[in-house]
Amino acid sequence: MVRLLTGHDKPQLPETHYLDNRIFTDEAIFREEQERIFTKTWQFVCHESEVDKPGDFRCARIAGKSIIMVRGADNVIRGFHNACRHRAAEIVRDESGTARMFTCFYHHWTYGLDGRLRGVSKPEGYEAVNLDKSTLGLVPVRSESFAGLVFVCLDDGVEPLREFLGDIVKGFEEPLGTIPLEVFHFHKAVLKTNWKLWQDNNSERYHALLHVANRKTMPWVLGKTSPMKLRIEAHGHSGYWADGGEAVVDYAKGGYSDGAEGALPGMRGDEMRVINLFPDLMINIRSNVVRLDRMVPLGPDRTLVEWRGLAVKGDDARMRAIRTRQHNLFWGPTGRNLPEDVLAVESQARAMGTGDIRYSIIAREEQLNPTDDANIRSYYREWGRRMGKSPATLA
Amino acid sequence: MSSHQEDLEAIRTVVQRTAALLDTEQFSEWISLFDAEGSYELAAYSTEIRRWMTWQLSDRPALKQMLDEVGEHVRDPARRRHVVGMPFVEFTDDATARATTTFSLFRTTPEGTSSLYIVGSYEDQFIKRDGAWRYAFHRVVSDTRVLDAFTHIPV
Repeated sequence: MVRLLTGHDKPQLPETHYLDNRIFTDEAIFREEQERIFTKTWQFVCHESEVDKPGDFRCARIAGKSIIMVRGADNVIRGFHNACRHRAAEIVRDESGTARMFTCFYHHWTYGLDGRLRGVSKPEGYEAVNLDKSTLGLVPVRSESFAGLVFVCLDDGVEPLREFLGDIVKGFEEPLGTIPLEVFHFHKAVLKTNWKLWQDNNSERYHALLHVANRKTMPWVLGKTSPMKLRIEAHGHSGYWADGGEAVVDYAKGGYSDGAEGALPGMRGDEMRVINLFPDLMINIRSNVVRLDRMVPLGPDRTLVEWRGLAVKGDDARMRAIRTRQHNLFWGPTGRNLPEDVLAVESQARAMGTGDIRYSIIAREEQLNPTDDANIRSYYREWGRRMGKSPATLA
Repeated sequence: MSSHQEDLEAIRTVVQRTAALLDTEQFSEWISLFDAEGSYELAAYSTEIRRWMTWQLSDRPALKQMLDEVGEHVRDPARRRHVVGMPFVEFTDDATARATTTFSLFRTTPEGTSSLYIVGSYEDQFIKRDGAWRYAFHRVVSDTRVLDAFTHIPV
């Protein structure tokens, strides 16, 4: 009797070159990721421009926790757990805002921008127990910034942010850290997919074939060589960009204009760089505008993705319109590429959810052209190290 | 019917046709509702970054290029259906007017599941040329900011 192929046959490949798809669907693995990755690594939370002035605050969720980022009167950006020390009601219930102090809406305990407990309502009620306010400030979260990007980590013992980022910063410290930028675009969606599938989509260039706009403006995606090269760095970070010479993006071939005008410092008009930080941040720079993707995993098959667009602070109206058009053309919710990416990763999640296909192939080797899978393999090596199991065998 | 009443009816008809033409994907006819200098904007206010955002701003040539290429894109397979309220029209002069219209847009998947996709309003500027009212500026303000699916198709 002829044995039919099954979707559970292990690929005849090195263990580093395939993944067990249960890492994308399994509830226990998802919970483990929250504990071993999202509470232990630096997480991008917002851009400094979102807390531009003293008193500006921004809320975010990290590993199921609600966090407030606030710029203090001393201009320092601090992170706190968003919970009152009295009975744990949320101190801040808006996504963002400006405050002189934080007063809990429930029983009116009041905290300074530095997190210190400034006052309790009806204080005479605590006189009998001599309540020590100095021990009841908002619970801080470790926070550090680099190139305008604000990160937090729920683990106090984590290495300094700069050490975690390592040499991948070469891809983005210019322009992100050399010119004042601000967030001009924000949208979010709950994707019906696993968070790593969105990160994979952001990391691998092979899927440029999916996008008609990329096929037109990046003809090299169909060829054997590329002006861009993968950069594989420590801690699972990677990126791809060109060192000069051949154009990376030919906007005119797609019939689009404006791509080159107002290029950011260090960027050519026909250039694009993609940087993916472990575990979940993408920095995508298209000559004159920047996109940041941040993820909040909600479950094995649900992921909140936040998309930010960055432009130069102080742009005149004409230049801002050019950057906005360039951003929206590819990346906005009505952009050429983003809707297709979402359809792809949701389709993967539906099919993986059936359990019919057990393995994903990440076996392309192409001398570090962007369609090489070396960066994906590096990412999953880091995932395996942190999770204490192989992403191919789950052992 | 008075001339004013005729103009009012003409503008209301343009708004209704806008929705119907998108629902049936008659994109050339949809673009023809715009004045030669007209443009389309999809805008939303972000409470997160506390500013208005333009998610799309396109003139007629850019709209044409995008809609001509729709067939080359991989697309959300859901059908879309607008439900459009009565436009509130104010005439600025004999040849220009503003209109505000609430709308909702539903998605129905190929399996037949319907869901609300976007709630918002049209905040439009009209111009009358050669006896016809067209969009000088068709601005779609989306209250909904967490979308079920993204789209290349105008809203």
